[in-house]
This record gives sequence, C-alpha cells and structure tokens, in this order.
Amino acid sequence: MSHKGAPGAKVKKAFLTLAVLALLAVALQSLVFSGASFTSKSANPGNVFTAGTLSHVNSKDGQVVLSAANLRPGQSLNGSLTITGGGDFSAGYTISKVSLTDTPATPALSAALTLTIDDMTTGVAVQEWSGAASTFSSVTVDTIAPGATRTYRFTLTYPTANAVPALQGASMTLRLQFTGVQQ
Amino acid sequence: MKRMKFLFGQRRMQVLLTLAVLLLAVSVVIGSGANFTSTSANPGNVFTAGNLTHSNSKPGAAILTAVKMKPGDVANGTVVITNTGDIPGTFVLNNANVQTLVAPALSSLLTVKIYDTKLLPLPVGAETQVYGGSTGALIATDPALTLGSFAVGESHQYRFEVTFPNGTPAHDNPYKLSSMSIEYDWTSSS
Repeated sequence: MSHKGAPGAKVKKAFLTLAVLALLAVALQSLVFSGASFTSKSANPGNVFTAGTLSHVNSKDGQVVLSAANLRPGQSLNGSLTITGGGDFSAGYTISKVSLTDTPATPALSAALTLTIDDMTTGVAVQEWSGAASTFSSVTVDTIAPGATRTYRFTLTYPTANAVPALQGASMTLRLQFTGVQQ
Repeated sequence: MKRMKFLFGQRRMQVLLTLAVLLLAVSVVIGSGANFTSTSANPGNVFTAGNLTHSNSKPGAAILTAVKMKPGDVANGTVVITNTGDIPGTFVLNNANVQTLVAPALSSLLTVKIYDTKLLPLPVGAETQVYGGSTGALIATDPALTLGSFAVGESHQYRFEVTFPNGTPAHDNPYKLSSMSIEYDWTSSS
C-alpha cells in the first residue's frame, strides 16, 4: 500500500519544487527590474545644419566668345562675356585654359597670336592678362558677389612681326573655363 | 441551637471576610507588581528619497544651427547642464532623430568637437575637449558620450564646434544645399 502512495508523493514533491523555482524566478526578476535608478533627461532638438550653394551665370556658357576666321597679320578681333555671381557666397574667379589645339601643330598659330584679357566692367579696360596665346594657362581675376556682374573682353592680335607664310590657313582652338571658389 | 447557628453564621462571615481581604491583598500585590523601569525612544526615523534632476540652459531648443555652410565653415554653440537634484548623478550625452532634410546626408560629412568647461563649483575650470579628437568626429555622437559624475549643484558648459571639412570641389559640390538636423539628449542617472 505504501508503494502505491510513492508516485503521488513524487508528483507532489516535483510540483513543490517547481513552485519554489517559479517563486525564485519571480523574485529574481523583480530584483533585476527593481535595479532601477533615478534618471533625469533633457533634450536639445532641432540643431539644423544646411549647406549653402555657389553658382554663376556665364553669358556665353558653352558658346564661342571669339571667332577669328581669316585673321590677317596686323589685325585684332575681340569678344566679350559677362559673369554673374550666384548662390550664397562671394567667390573668387579664375579663368583657365581647358585645351588648346593648333592645326597644324607646327608652326603653331597660338604661338604667333597674342591673347589679351581685360576686365571691362567699368567701361575702362583693366588688363588681367596678356601674352602669347600658347603660354596662357590661367589667371585669377576678381571676386564676384552673388548678383554682381563683371564683363571680360578677349582680344586676339596677329602681330605683323609674327607673320610666317607657313601659318597661312592655320587655325587654333582655345577652350577657356571660369571657376569660382567661395570665399 | 440558636447560639450555635449564630456562631456558625458568624464564623462563615469571618471566613468570607478573610477571603475577601486576602483577595484584595493579592490583587493589590498583582496590581502594584511594580519594579524599576527605564525607557527611551528614537522617534522620527525619516526616510526620504533623493531627487535627481538637472537643468538645461536651452531646454527643448537647439544648441546651434548653421545655414549656408560652405567648406571650411565652423559653427559654435554652447549649453549649460547643471545637476539641480540633491544627489550626485552620472551624465551621458547621446543623439537622436538624425534626419537628412535635403540629401545627400550631411551627417556623414560634418564633424563635431565638444568642449567641457566646469562652471560650478568655483573656480571655473579650463576648457577641455571631451569628444571629437583632433579632426573632430562625425556629428552624431556614437556611441553615447559619458560625461562623468556631477556633484549636487555642479554645472558644466558644453561648447559644440561643428565643421564643414574643406575637401575637393568634386567631393564637396554634391553637398550644395544639403541639410540635416540632429537632437542632443542629456541623461543623468544615480
């Protein structure tokens, strides 16, 4: 008879053990979650950072400024363009050579022609650069504020002294670029 | 017989009286069960929870904003954090709600340096850099920055220095007109 009761006692003991373990688990959990500490919070939202922009308008962007076909020794031709500052900042501008192509390569017409760059903004020519077209690399011109404009004149001269029969029919293509850097 | 009855009745009365007196005596003895005593008390053992709070000189507002930034620009802003509670607290700074308002993400470009100046208790301390290294770190403080323990009443000013690094035109030009916002959160715990 006593053997009959043993499984029941075991079940009861197991149940008790489980109950104790469950209680311990609950106690431990409450210990973990009661590991609370006082806190205090504040926030500084809306710190906004915005980049500005810089741009300019070239009145002859992508176009030929000066086409000097049939230029003869002793002759000069010129063309002008206007740069208008844009964006949020004043910028310092540079005119630089992008490419120079002479046909034929030798003798080079660019070595015979004189290039002069003048600032004509006030109506009075202020020379920015002058020399053999072949030696032009870049020149720093002016600072242009947003909305302000400056006019530049490009003059090509074929000095008589540089006239060489071999240059008859020669041509050159000079590509220039304006670059503004914010200040 | 009459006399016997009287005597017997008298004796019974005496016994009863004696018992009553004895009872009274015992009760007096019990009631006066006095001995020497000495008593003292410790009342008013009061337990009050501490209060951990802090003040933020720009609560709910921006520390700094900068518009029309260009490469090389530096923006500064300060905020003062004070332990206004009555127990010390450990302070932590982190960020939230990093938002790109206009792409590309300026948060991956702008750098921040954070400087700490102890204001209280006096004397005012020297400004020391607590975040960002020599070239700064990305504007999002990740991971959170532990600022240390503030005593009661201790006050610190934090200066945020945000820089738009000067790169190459090819690198910087795509960021024209880009915009971002960030929130800085201060948490103290005891």
